Amino acid sequence: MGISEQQLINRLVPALLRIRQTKIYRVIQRTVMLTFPFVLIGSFSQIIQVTLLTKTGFLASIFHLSTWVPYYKYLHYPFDNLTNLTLDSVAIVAAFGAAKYYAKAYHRDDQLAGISGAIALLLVAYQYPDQTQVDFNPVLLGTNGLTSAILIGVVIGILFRWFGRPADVPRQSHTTQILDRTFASLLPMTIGFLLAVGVGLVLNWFMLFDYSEQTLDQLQKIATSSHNGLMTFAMAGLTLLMELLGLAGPFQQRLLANTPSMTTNLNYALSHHSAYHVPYPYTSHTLYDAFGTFGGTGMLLALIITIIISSHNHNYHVVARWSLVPALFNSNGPMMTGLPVLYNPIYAIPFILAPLVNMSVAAFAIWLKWLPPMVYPVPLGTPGPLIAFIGTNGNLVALLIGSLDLVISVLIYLPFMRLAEATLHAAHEQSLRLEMTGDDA
Amino acid sequence: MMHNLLKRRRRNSLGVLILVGLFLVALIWPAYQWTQANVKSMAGRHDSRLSPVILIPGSSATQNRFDRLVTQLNKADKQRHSLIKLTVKTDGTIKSSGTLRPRDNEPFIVVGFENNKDGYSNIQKQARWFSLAFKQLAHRYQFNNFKAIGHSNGGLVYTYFFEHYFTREDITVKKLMTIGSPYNFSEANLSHKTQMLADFIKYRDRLPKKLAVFSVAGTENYDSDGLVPARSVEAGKYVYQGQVKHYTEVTVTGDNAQHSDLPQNKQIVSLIQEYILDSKKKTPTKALMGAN
Repeated sequence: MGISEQQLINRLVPALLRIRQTKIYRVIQRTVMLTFPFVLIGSFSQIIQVTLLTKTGFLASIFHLSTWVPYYKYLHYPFDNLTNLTLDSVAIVAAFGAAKYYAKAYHRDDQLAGISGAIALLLVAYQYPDQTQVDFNPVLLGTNGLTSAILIGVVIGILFRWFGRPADVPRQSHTTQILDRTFASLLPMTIGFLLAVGVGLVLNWFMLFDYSEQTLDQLQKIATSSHNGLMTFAMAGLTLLMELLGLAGPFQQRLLANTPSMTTNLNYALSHHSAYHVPYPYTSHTLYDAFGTFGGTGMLLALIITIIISSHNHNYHVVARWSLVPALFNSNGPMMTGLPVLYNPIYAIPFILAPLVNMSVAAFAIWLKWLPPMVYPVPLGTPGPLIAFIGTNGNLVALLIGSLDLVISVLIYLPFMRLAEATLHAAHEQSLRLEMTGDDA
Repeated sequence: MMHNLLKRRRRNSLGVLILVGLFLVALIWPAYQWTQANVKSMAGRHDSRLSPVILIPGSSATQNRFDRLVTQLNKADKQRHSLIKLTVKTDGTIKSSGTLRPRDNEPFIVVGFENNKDGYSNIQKQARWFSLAFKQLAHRYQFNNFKAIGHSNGGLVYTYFFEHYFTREDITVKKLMTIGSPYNFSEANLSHKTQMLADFIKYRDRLPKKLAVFSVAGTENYDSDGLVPARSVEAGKYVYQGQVKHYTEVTVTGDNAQHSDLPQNKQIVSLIQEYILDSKKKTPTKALMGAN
């Protein structure tokens, strides 16, 4: 080994710092962090809803909550509502943030730009209905619409930059000046809304929504029904990459759908009273779901542990602590948006690598017949390290491999976390320096 | 000072991590017990040889509606199938009578309703009541497949049940026979679809794909069994044909082809014996199992 880890970090930090300092990256990062509180509240509500108040949820199953908690079947309604409205409004918040921060970076009226961004997203997502109800496209709203929402927000921001006037003067409360500012923003707003309506119409016209939804469905079907080992790894890699970019990957519907290979495996195991020789040992379910998703997509439970054990960054600790409980039940939203991991080039490698390495370890162990593939049902929201243990009817080797995978993932994340920290540190020092020279950061 | 603050934060974080870790370890044992119990019950159902015939009577008929049919079938089949009767009250409570005979793998289970009135809204209610009874039966007898027979409105209750309530993956329905079921109520003209038929057609893609359906019509004259128009029974094809594995229409005439007599009709009894009941070939294996 020619160079040490520290030297490598020293070499990479300036380049990463340059990326960080581009205006667009800062806009995106701030926007993602703006969604963090909504995602955090939504995730807590979601884990209560899924693990406690769904009959097939993890804690509900193992403690038989539905049999002894009074009014159990009504308790989930308020949480359904809270979860849906917080997580599904994340895209609107993102469109608002992207437009606001972009306009601010170019000294335009950020307040109006932000609101225009949010409305533009709704205009694009509007579904021209057969019915009289107002309906929006679920692909564009919600957590999977984050990327398109940021794109729309940035476009609105650009329009404000091109067609608006600088609004740098400190806020004046005089009516004429407010009106003046409003009219200065009227042109970019009008252009933006017309553009959004146009894009919305085009999408509706060509039924691109249906198309994209169907393609995704098809992809998911092919991906989850494949029982070819290599295909499983390729699809897992694709899923991870897409999730990192804020899109829904082929394996996203985890543990919900029963695929034909799962049913075949289960029936085989039930008939033979053993799961060792099932027909499809290397599927998305037996490898990816069982060993690649501790703490949600990207093994983020491992990153949380890494931070708690060895981070020196104050903010990292706060985010990790708040994200620990959701991540325990496989909700990765808080980490994705709080740190943020989303769109973060530093974490791209471990995010994809850690699950794939874990899957290989598990596949190797299954091949050696150290443990049977997981074939039995696993409750919703089962903590990552326990998934394979439960799914193999309590096989101790599965529990050991689950724990081993967690340790391996922590080791994979460790150097990348150090790199991210070094970059943050360098950025902090730079901003301090700029402050001293009186420059605007 | 900054350093101390950070130290404290790290200690706090570590404390949270250790707590969560202990929580996780504490969950291992209950999780183990849950999965053992769950797999055991799944294996029990999977290994079950029980395959009941579940019957739903038509409107205004009680859980005793099929007594004569079962007697005739027992005589024809040369074995004594158990007869279990359930009545679902309007408040959802279930009363049952009759027991499963030992070594009987094909009991007849009749599910009747306290409110057995006609009409679409009542059929919807009856389907919900049936789903409650079905849940209880599935839990009590642990079967993994069953056969369904519905007389008159009973066939409509079944259709509604399959489209709206039957979601179990661990239980398959192998066969359904509807006898004189008026899919379009008393409407003989198929261009006038009732709300019920329209709904049946709307949700037909939810029907079990592996189901074999037999729709039996009785006729006294060329177009009715005295109560239900033959055309209305025939409308079942718009619901089932192309959705399920097989859809067969049978028309019987002659003695006892009047609507209410259909369950006693000799032709229909032999149709049930031939198409719905498990074939007798299994008997030797059953005897072998008994010898074990």
